[in-house]
Amino acid sequence: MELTLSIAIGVLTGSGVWLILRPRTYQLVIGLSLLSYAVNLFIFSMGRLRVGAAPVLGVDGTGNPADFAGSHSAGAGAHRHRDRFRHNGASSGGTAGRARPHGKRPCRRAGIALMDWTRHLLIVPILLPLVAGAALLLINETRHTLKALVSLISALLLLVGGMALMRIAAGAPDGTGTLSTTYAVADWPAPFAIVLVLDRLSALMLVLTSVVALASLTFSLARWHGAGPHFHSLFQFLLMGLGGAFLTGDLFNLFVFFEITLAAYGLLLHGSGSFRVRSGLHYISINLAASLLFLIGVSLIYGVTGTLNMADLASRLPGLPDEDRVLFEAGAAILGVAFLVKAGMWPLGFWLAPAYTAAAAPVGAIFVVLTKVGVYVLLRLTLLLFGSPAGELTGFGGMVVALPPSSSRHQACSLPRLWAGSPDIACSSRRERCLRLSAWVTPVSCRAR
Amino acid sequence: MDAGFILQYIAAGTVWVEDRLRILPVVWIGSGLLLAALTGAASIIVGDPFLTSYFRYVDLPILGKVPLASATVFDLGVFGLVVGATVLMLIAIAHQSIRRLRAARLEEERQSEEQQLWS
Repeated sequence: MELTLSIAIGVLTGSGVWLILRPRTYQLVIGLSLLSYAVNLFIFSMGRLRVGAAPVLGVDGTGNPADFAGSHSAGAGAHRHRDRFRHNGASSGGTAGRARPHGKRPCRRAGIALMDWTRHLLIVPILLPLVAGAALLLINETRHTLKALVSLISALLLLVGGMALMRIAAGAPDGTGTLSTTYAVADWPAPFAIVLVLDRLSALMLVLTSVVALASLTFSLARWHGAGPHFHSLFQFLLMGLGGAFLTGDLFNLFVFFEITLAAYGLLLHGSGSFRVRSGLHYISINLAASLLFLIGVSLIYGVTGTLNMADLASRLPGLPDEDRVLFEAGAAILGVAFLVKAGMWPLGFWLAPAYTAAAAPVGAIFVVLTKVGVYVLLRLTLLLFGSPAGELTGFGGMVVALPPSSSRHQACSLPRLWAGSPDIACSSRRERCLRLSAWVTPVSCRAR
Repeated sequence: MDAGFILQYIAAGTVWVEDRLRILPVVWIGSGLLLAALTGAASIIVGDPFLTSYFRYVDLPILGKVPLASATVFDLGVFGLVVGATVLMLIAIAHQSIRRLRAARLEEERQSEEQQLWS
């Protein structure tokens, strides 16, 4: 059975790659869908191939891939950690008595509870642009001023929210004690819920995003926002994806938000023109291919550890048997490659220069943040999963990787284009280049270890 | 539902349907998304995290005991979103037929202009 499945996956991948390399749009689309079929099969096989087993989980909970992988020794520790984690998430927000029995669905509490608004501040960077973007879709395309106003207000509120979150992340006390920095969406207990996690890095990135967004939205008012349909909606959806990617504490949810940031494709096409369409096609196909790599990495990690919650993952990692550890690190390496493609790192960033050059000026500005999501995630994951050895490499030079921004500067000849490319050059100071390079080196070194 | 739209396109032609299309696909998408997001956000008002769903059984006069979940409203929103997105995509493909006709007409005009120019 393993042989059949591997051959099927191999054939699908091979034909998909061949079709992608053909210079036809239709074949490109078919190739990408073949690749996604292959990845689907791969993901299914990560639950292990068994004959005569229960479809999902047995009555007594058998069939969990983590148990099947033989990491029984890690089980007890993980459970202990999970309880603690849930406790943190549920009760540190100053609302006592919210810790529920393990795995039980929440029931509706009697009456309307004391509304603790600050607790929900964590969802704001996701919810606000979503609502604003949806509302903008309903406003007629001819009412530019109203649309711009809604969009600007949303970005401004995002900035305010980001600053409030930064205060929370810095540990500002709030009457009852420190505010919660985790948020279990839909109130499921922690390792099962999608948890939003706030720390100083993510708060900083949120503020950065909203500042850049506000600036580029203001700039777009001059001319660009009227150059095509749905500029503001797409912009808001992009902001939602960025906010979610910075806040999420779950690997698969991260994938979802990464896909939402593909709203950038629509933005890239904004203003139309054949050059934009061509570079947009490159952008979307390379990013989709990277997403497929992302899925492969995630499913490898899930197949080995049985969890995708980042905190849970870090706690299960030390108990991982050696033969699984290789597989896990392979998964992490594939994930790393996917993020590096998305970050536009030097050997993989060939899509970056045309995309930056082709994008309308305000879009190019927000792209600068977009490509940093990959760097951010790499930083977060390497430090979380591989700890201090990853940090040692941070000082490993920083001379090589200014290539993509500078080449985009050479190509950018007109003034708005230059402006679009320049923030990246401006912010690629020595320190950031160090980060980029270290981010590039670490997954490889982790694999070699 | 999308199939219904597409059948209309096939049966009556692109131009006929688009003259009579009251709710544009973009409006489907926008309202669906808004409905879903606001349903998710409604739980914040009660004090629970985003997207928390509530569930209870309700006794209706004729139907008897019916399970009701707040997630249904969310699903309705998703339904609107999917309908809008699918129709939008299919319409974009359907417009190829008009575009080809238009391109052919433009080409004819250009050629006749050239002929006039030469003659």
